[in-house]
Amino acid sequence: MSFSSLLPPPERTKSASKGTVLPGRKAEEAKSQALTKAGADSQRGSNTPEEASRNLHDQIAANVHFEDFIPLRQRDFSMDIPQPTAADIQASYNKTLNFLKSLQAENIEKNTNPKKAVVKNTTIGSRAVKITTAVQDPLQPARFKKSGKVYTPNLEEDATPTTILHDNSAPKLTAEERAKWKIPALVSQWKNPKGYTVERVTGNGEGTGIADVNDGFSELSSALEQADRDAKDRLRKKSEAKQLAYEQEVRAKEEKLQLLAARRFRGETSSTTRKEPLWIEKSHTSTHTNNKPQTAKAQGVLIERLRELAHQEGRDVSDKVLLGTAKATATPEVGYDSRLFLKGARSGARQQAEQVYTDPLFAQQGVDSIYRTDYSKLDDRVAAESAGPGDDGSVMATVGSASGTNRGPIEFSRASDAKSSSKSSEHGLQLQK
Amino acid sequence: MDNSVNFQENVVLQQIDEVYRKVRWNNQFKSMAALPKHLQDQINENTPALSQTATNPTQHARNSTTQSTALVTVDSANQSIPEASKMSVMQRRQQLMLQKPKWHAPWKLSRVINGHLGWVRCVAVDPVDNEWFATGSSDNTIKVWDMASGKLRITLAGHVMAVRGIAVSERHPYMFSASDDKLVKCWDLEKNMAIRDYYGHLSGVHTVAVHPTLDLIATAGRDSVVKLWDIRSREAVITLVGHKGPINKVKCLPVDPQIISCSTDATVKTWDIVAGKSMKTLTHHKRNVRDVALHPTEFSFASASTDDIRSWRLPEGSLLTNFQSQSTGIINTLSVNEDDVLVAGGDNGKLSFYDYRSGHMYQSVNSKAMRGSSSSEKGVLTSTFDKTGFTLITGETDKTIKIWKQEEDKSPSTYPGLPWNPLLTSQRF
Repeated sequence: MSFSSLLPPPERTKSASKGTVLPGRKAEEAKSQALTKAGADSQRGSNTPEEASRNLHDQIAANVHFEDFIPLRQRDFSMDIPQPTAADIQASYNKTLNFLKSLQAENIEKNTNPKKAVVKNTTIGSRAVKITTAVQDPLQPARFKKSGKVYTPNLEEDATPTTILHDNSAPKLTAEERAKWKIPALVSQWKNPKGYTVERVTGNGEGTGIADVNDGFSELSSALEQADRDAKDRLRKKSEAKQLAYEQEVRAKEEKLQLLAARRFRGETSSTTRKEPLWIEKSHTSTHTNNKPQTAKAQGVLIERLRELAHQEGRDVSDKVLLGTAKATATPEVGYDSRLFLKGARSGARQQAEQVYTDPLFAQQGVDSIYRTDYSKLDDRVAAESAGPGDDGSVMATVGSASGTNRGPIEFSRASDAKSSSKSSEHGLQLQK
Repeated sequence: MDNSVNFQENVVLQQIDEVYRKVRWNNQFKSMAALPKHLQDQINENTPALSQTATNPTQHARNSTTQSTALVTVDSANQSIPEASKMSVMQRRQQLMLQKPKWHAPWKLSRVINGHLGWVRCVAVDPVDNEWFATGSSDNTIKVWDMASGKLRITLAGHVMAVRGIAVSERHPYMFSASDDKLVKCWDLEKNMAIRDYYGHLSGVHTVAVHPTLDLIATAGRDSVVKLWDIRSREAVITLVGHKGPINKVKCLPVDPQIISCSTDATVKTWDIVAGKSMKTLTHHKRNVRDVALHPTEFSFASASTDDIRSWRLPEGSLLTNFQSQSTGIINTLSVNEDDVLVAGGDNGKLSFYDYRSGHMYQSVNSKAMRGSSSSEKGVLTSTFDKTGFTLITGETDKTIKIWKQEEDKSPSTYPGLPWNPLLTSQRF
């Protein structure tokens, strides 16, 4: 016998007398009951889990009947279900009203009449115990705060478990399916303190989702790129080969020319070999008597012939080159590519059809030779000069005036002309004359 | 030897023939063995009662294996539940096929009323004179409309969140409204103002119902309890605890069970308010039960969850009918009229009309969203029949109130309705 069992029931919990107690305590009691029950079961020797589950099944089976699933009206649609009669309604009304009144009375009594102090005298062993209720101020505010929690009912209160009468075997939602329905949080375009990134949704915007980019696209583009590179490579090789062939050809021609020139030069000095067709027979006959002027004259003829030859090939060759005494001008080392010059030279050949610009821009104007002295014309001019009285005597002037038909992009004029022209047009403010 | 072989062959052939005949009979002609019930009823009506009783035993004797429909009619009066369970599934289906559901005239839209600025969430009809109806909306207002003309009578403002439920009392000049702002308000219809607040719910209140005999109102909402309030003293007299999820609808009856509630925990509960606990929990539904509707003349009610409408016999709550509602989708609202028409308003704007007794869907109409509202705004949120049962009022997500009437000029020959073809799924559970 414990001491607490002697105490009167708690004042404010009227439900305790009716059998419903706090959920926590209820759970505790249920546990202890379960323990005792289990103990009793074990004494009877039926404590195996299989037996327990079978017991549960039996219990459920006792509650479920096949008739629960058979719609009653299926047999006969015209089955009548009468409304409750007025007497039923009145009886129900009276019963409920009495109950409500009793509730009210209880409430009023509790609120108006403060409970009398209960004095209970008992004895524990040899001691006399007097139990009295502490006197409370009826106007004292409630000592316990009302909590805002939603009361979750304790469904184990029912004597029998509620049987589920629907088929619950439908598949549950998986995490993936749930994820599909998840709506991401809104991300502002202006503020983004948490640094979310907006995933750009590609697609047609009709809710069909993101169109996946096929691997084929990248494969196609890489294949196209590869084919393009191959084609370019082939073209490049082809053009290189052509260029090489052309260069070889040019070199061969130059070598031939140099060979000719060298042979001629050697023949001039040794004059033993006279087999070349370039040699002029007439001059050979007279070499015996007057060697020096003869050779000079022969040289001049040779130069003429060579020049003619070069001209046929589309080249202008200077005297010095022809005579083999040409030297490279003493220019400081400039790092440029000699192919730049070759390019211009090759332009006439049109061997590279693949080039973007098939012709050099100034091919027709003969850019290579615009500022080069035209020796034939110069010779003519000199001859004319020596024949008639010259007025200026300046080579530049003659070139400038003579090349009126074949002018370069820059024209040279005499300094006196430039002065006179500059006089007529002065820059800046001028006084009226 | 040859003779015996021939004999055996003959026997085998005969057996095959027998099996074939039996199968063919079962497949094709078995349903014709008995006369359809409505025809049999007519014959029974024509023949005097004495001769009926005289013919029945003979029928029974002649046709002992297949059950006669005449027998069924006699038995149906005093049939017992265990007897039903003895029948096979196919027998029960055949029984269903032999009966004919009642014909109802089709319904069509007659008027659209605009005025609310939000979803129309609840509607209630004047129970006394049938002269007006009130609608509550997500725009926090209650509007009262004239039934005949459809004109707005008055707008009542007072709630600060969506109005979720309205009930009009038959015995008081009061209207009660429940709102998401946790308040239940009592409106005086003579002064057109709110006179009382019922304060005590811990979360939004979804529904309110007036007790037909006692001065009580029942409210329920997101806090999953049903509270019964004394109308005058504004006190929560009884709190009924038991649902595990938010409660969608509460109905009051004059006799036990005095409260019926349906919840998102897929159950319908009938409550005994004297004992303070639930009498029965109906667990047949699989999904959120969004609405229950009481039959106006018969002691039964219907409940609706997704793809599943059932009706239940009161007071014990046994299953009456499985409706043909396999592909209706989410059902927001149910209404029944005296003429045994049950209408279910779907979340996709589909109105399905059923014969209440047989569960036969005879018409399915799609409610069109108003011009200016998107196609997703076409759900039917609430519905009610007026007191005569000839007018159906629905409140929709396109902010309109729609009024539907029966087409009186239609007859069974001109409008046969959807075919009566009960599937085996009517035996679903």
